[in-house]
Amino acid sequence: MSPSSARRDQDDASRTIASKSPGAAARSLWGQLQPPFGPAWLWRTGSLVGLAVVWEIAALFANSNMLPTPVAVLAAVYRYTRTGQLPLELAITLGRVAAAFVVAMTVGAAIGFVMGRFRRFNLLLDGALVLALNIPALVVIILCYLWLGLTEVAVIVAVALNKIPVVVVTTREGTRAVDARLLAVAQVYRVPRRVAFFRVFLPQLYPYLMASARNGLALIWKIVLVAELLGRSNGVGFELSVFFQFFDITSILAYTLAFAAVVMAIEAGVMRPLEQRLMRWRG
Amino acid sequence: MNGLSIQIDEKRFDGPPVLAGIDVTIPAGEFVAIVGPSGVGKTTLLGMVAGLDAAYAGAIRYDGAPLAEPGQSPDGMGMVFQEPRLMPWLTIRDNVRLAEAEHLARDRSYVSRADTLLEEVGLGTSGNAWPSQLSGGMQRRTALARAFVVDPWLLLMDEPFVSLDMPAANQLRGLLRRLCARVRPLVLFVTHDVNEALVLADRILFLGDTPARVVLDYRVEQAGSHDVSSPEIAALRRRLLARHPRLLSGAPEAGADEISYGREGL
Repeated sequence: MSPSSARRDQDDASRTIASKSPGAAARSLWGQLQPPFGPAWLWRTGSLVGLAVVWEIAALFANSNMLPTPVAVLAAVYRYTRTGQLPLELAITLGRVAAAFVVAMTVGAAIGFVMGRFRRFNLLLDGALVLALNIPALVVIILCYLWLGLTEVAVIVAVALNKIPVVVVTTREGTRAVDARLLAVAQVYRVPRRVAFFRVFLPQLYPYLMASARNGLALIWKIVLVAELLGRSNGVGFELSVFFQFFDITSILAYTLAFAAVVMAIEAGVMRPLEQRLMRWRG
Repeated sequence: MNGLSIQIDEKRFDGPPVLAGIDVTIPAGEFVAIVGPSGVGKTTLLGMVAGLDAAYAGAIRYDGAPLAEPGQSPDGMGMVFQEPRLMPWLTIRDNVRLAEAEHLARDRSYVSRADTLLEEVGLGTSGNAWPSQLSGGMQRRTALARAFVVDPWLLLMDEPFVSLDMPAANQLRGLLRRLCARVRPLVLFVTHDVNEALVLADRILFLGDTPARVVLDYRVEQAGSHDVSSPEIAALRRRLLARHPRLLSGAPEAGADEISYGREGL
């Protein structure tokens, strides 16, 4: 056997291994973890109701304003919604989440693609990436406020900077896993660059981009609250800081609950359907 | 010089030359099989014609002009790989239409022929299916439809039926012959199976030796059978091997045990 044929055989073997996408394995494992009986939604709601019941009982026993009952918290949510304060603050914070999310995904995906595609860029930026992954979110937020002032831009930059390295890592992995054999198909049929990008290249990155979008949403809304607490005069994070000063635990929990509910709704109503649509070919 | 002229002075990866001193000319519309042991460089040669690999010394021309612009694939070429290589996220129809993308971009009035071709390969009702819902044979039919949808003048095929069972491969060979009879492309068909080459081709280029070169340029007598396991093809093959006894041992001076012929065990 000649050296070139040995190399080819090796290539073929590694291609076969690489051709399975990461999501496929996770999905079948997930399939095995389905509850043994009853529809899935019943188990989901059941666990939430159970949590509320445990909370209610604990609060009744504690009988202290350090742990308000779920009913009291829901009443507070209703009250703040009636006055219009809660929806307004939610909207302000969600706006910041959306802006930081878009910036982080765009910049992170672009850098990740370049690093995955070009070895030299990877060597150049890899050290900075490891550093960036390890800088505490709080430090980035404080520095942005110091350098850019207590401005809207500073919040969005600070939050995006926290998320970008994670997006870079995921996108870089995705770009490296792109199947060159499929790109060759686009080349031999002289598929125009734009079509090849959207129909041949990008779909291979969808699982990776979706993963970083979902993680990103979860990470960003938590960091936005910290940034608001430290340097803004509105938004959910700012309101929480006010309640903190007044020891108003009921309001803190009311805001938290409302905000978490909105984020979960976005996850269920936007992210999951989007992922299902992008991945429907998996059948 | 008329036709496709493939002149490879030398091709190497990181080491000694893999291919050297290849100089063949193929007239338009001829069906040429490229036969040789695995690892001899058949796929490499095809990649160079396809414009996927430009790192070689030599020139590939058609009617005296370069076959393609540097870094590009030839216009009006179809290619079928060892695997179907369909985009799993595109429907069968969209996979075929991918080969038409350039036409669609160039000419707004271009009407897609994807459905016609799918009909022709027997997948008329599968246009909306995902590739994962199709059998291996059906995926290969799709790959054939994709290759023929642009009426290629040049068709490159790299062991396209290699992992199919005998009846399925025979069916697809019949389909390929019908499509070729209609479109009349110049075909370069890589295979390690001499019988398959005898069934399909007008001419066979046997690659062998190290670095690989064309050890025999063979014109196929028409056997009158399109079945790879028929007695006519077996007779043809016996005659060929009687005249060139060392052909399938690769180079005339190489020992037979150095060369693997895959599952056929030739």
